[in-house]
Amino acid sequence: VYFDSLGKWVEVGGAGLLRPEVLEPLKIRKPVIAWGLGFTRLAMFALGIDDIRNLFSENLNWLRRKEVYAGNRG
Amino acid sequence: MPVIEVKRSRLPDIPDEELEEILHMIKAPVEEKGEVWKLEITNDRPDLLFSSGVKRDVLGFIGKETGIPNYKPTPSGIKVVSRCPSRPFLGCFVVKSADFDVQELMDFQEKLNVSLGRNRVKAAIGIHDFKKIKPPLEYLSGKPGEKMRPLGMDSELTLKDILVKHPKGREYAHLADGFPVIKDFHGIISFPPIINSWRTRVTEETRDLFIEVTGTDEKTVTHVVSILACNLAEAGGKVFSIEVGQKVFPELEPKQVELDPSYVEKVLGLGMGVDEICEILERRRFSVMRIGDSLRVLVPSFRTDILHQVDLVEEIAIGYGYNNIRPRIPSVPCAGKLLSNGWDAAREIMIGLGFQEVMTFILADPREQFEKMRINGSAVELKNPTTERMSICRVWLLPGLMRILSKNMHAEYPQKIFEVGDCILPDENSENGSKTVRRICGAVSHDRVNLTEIKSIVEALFKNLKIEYRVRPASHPSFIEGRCAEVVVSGKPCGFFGEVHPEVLVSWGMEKPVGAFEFELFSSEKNIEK
Repeated sequence: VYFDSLGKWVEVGGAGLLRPEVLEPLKIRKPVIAWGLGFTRLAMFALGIDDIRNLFSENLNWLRRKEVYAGNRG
Repeated sequence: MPVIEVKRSRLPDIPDEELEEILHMIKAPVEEKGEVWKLEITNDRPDLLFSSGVKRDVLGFIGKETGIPNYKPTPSGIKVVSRCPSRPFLGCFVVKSADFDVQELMDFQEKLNVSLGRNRVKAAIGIHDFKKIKPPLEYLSGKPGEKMRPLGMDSELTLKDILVKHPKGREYAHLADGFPVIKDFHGIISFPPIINSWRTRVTEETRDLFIEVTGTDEKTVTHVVSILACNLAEAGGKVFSIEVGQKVFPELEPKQVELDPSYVEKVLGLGMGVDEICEILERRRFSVMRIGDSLRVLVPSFRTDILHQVDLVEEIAIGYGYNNIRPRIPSVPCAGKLLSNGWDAAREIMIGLGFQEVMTFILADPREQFEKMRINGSAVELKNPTTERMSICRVWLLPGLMRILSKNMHAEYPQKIFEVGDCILPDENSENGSKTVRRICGAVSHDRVNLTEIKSIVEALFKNLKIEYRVRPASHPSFIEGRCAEVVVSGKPCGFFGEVHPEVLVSWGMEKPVGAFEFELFSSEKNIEK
């Protein structure tokens, strides 16, 4: 993902096709894709957090002041 | 992943921007630019750990040099006797007048030792100045008392002393079983996998190299020899082969892999013709022969990562350009929509009631889950926890909220927090011995919190969710007797609320009272309309 604030590309996750050697023993005949995103980095950017410790903070005052984006639910 | 430093002048003479883009695509992304470029090399491409290997790949990518490179070694006439049972495999060759930077070559050697060589166990490399070596050469088990002047020392030492006095000796002493040595006419030139002799050292003036690779794994030794020989040949060197026993090194014959074009289509789905597949493979430095409907691909010996035809499909995708693959919405008859699963509604109701949402860890501390809450119980334990604080899976949420409240006694009151999260309970009837349940837990803390306040919150939650419920008195060790109740839905208790027991407050070091509830609102399958 390109971040304007950093002026560079940041790796946030990996994706790919599973190797046939992995699928064959499981008798899976269709190709399988898998992907995973590093949630912490994205969350830090989305919430404007620059210290990873704050993402795991137990500080209620910090949490109360923090804007939270709830997204579109249902 | 390993990072190499390469002089820009050793990379292809194309604009920086274009080069950076290509390096990114061939799995050697640029970390730093300047006179020296830092490239992060993927672990499956050890042949890219040296500038000539990178250059070969890039020149192929832009179509300037295509097909399998031809590095045919000339027999040197040298034969090596190899008989060292403790480290049985040796491969070696000579390369003359290659164009290289000594430092870059040493870095390349060390990165191969660490990666493919598994830290010198499966294979370790020694590089010598060929002009300083006088055949005949022999690889055998030495004697602890035999002497050699190692690199980095100014006098001769016995092999036994090298293991004690030389830094590399101390680092790799565990691999020195049987004291493997390589000798020439004058004596020991190498004590693999520890250190080379000072006598045959490589200097800035060295142009002709004798390279030996020893190890415990024959295939790895052969691969490492191939990669070194091909990259030095690519750097303009002339390679001379050496006979070791019945074998000749380097072994540079290409491997043949059958590739079915319909398999390429099955994996990539780009509708590529056979001509395009061949053209791309040639650009990725393979050679292709057409055999009827199938393709026979010649894989150069340095491409140790090609194990299956799927790896060639990956090369085709790389050559085509991942960025040129356009996303397409699949033509399926329906589109998905988000499930409104009730839990989100519950969370919004809690926020509406003025609660702050928190998320705590699923891994928990057994003391916090049980002792500090005045209860006994069992939990799913981790086999290899890194810390006691995270050694079991939580069986309930309230301890996590107690922890947060106990850490925030300086913050403004009233404090109202809640969490929706999974708990993992031991379950003998389930296949994996556990079951996961989702729960909602809330906690309120201020000077005058009481059962009535908690009950009004609980009722607001259930009423807004349109769940029919009944409340009845209950008893729970974490709550004050007579100030605790459970909620019954469809005839079954689904959780409890009450005033937290003073002993629990004390065990958490808390000064203000806490009221709390915890419920399993919906069974996992059941969804309700918002």
